[in-house]
Amino acid sequence: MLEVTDLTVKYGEVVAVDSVSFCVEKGEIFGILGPNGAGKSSTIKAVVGLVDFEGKIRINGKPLSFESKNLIGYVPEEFMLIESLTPLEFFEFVASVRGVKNSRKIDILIDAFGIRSYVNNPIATLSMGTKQKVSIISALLHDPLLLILDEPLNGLDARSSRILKEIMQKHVERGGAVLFSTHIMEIAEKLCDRIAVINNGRIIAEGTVDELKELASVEGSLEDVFLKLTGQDVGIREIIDAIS
Amino acid sequence: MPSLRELWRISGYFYRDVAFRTILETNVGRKSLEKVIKSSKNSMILNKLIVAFVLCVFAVTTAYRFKTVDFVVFYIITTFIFAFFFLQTTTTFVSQKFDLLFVLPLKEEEISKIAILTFLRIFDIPLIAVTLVFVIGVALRDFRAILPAFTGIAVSVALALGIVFYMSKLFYTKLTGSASGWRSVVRLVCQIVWALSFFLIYALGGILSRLSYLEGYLVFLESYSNTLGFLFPFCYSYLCTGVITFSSLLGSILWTGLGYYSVKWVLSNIRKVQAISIFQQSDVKIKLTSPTIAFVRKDMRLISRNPAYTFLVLLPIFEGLMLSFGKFMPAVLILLSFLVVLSYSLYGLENVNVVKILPVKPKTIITAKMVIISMIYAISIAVLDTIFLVRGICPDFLFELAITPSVIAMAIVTLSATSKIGAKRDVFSGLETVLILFLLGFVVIYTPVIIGYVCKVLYGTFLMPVAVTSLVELIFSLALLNVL
Repeated sequence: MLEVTDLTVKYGEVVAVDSVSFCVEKGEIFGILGPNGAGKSSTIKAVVGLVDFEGKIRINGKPLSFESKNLIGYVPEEFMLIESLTPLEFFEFVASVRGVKNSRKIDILIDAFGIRSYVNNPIATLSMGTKQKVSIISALLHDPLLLILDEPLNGLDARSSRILKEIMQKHVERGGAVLFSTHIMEIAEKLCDRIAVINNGRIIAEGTVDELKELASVEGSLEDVFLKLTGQDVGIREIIDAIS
Repeated sequence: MPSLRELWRISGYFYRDVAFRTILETNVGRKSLEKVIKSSKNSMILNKLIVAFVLCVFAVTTAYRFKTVDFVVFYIITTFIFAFFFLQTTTTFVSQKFDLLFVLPLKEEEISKIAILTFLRIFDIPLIAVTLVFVIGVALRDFRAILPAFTGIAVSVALALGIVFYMSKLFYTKLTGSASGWRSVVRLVCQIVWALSFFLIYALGGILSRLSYLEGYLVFLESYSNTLGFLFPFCYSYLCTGVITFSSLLGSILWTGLGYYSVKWVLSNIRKVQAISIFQQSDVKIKLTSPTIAFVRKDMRLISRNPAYTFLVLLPIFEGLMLSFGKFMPAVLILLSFLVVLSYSLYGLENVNVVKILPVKPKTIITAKMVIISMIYAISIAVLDTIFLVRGICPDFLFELAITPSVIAMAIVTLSATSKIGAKRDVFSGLETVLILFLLGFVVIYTPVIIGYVCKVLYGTFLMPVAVTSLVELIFSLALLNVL
């Protein structure tokens, strides 16, 4: 579904992503984990065409193009909404541009995420959680094959988080794919079929949770594996003792 | 418990946010935030000082002349200026969120006080200045007039605050509500009234020059002092100048009561502002259209919600109205230049990142904006022609028709260049870029006219060369559009 080969993203002289390669298969939730500034969001932005890059990105066997944008549903880490519009007007705009023929799904998603009370108020006036829901609905309304979710659970309440997780699982069961970035290790461990750990712009480990545990020689949780792989486990105990 | 001074200091942060958002609302394009922050600080203080100065001049004049009519004019002007001049800022205040304060160790009552102080900060300098200058001025003339003079100005301000808060709430609801059906029209009307308040300061000169007429009427009305004494601001004006009648005494008491009620209403509503949610259960009606129409609808919605864009779009129509009292050809040519500015500025409506993630070609965006520009051109020309016909002058319909393809070509070329540059960098910050884009637009729109005049001199024919050049431009621009 998604093939990324030798992807490099530079901001001036700074190399944010350095020759990263991975693929996301149909029916798979692929997680990208990494510390802050590791290059997760830059990788995702390159995949959706928001930043210039070197390397190859192929979606459904074809290079990133005008047509392939309709195969993607993207929830960015920072809101990309037109804040003067109401959620309803924004959905109408996005759905029309994406060529959606039936508005029934929008109606269902509005109820699913519980934002019916807010659909006629400007996005600018909404809370962070509600804006995140607007962002998620606008990514789902055209039934994309590939969901690209950058920290999608930020600001979501428990009910909406559960619904989104269920949607992701149903989506892959129907043959779709999900590229998913998160800081919440428990969720990544529970949801992702495969995980890539990215640090300093490079993928340092990739595989299933069990494969990563084996690679890191760690018996504990994914969080322990992640901290070990990224070298962030050093000094944690001392810091906690000092705080205590 | 924080002291009043501490609460006043905290309210300063919220006021700066209100001021910043007000200035942001009136900016076209994507001006850098640093510039907006800088200008918000300066222009808010400058506006307050100008209003304070104008009101103080009136206060001094009134206290010096000490006539009933002067007091009447002064109170009316004070009410009017406080009610309308700060309308945009108070509308932003109505949408201000104070929820940040709920996580701090503050009581609900203290948060209410911060909200009230933030609101008062909008008027602080002119309010304090005019009250002090007026009361001191009156006291110097006649010590006995202090109480009615002070009560008069307090009631003027109280009524103004009631009016401005009511209008702010109304405009906030209308300007930000959904755009379906007749509400779009209501919103556009509100937008114009709301935006006009921003230009009130420029109209002050005109208002001052009209006062002599007003005074004439008021002198005539003085003979009805028994009746007028019931009315604001006559009641206080009579009392200040020593005309103590039953009606002026009763009127003063009644209007003071009303002023008190007005302030009470404002304060109770400000308390709601920081606590309530204006959201209501809503119907979901989605109209799916083609991508081009979706962009047109989106742009029209953004235009109707942003006063700067509303004015920009209405400018050619207003200009059409104003220019139609001159000669026909210069009027049309000046009108065309406004369309160039409009074409360039409309690009500012686009959120580049949103567009990048959608399957949309530049052609769709440009076509949508070209449709809006063509509509504005058609309306402006219709206004212009109507006035000329009323004046008994027949407009050159054939020229208007001949230049129409060039207007479309200009819109396509200017927007294409703007979007091409805009994909790489900010097209609204560099003066050089702006000049190049303007020049490009002017070249496209005026080339047919120049060729027409050259041919007129050489061959005695004007319209045909204009039409042919205009059509050639359209063909080339459409070819360009298809390449994008």
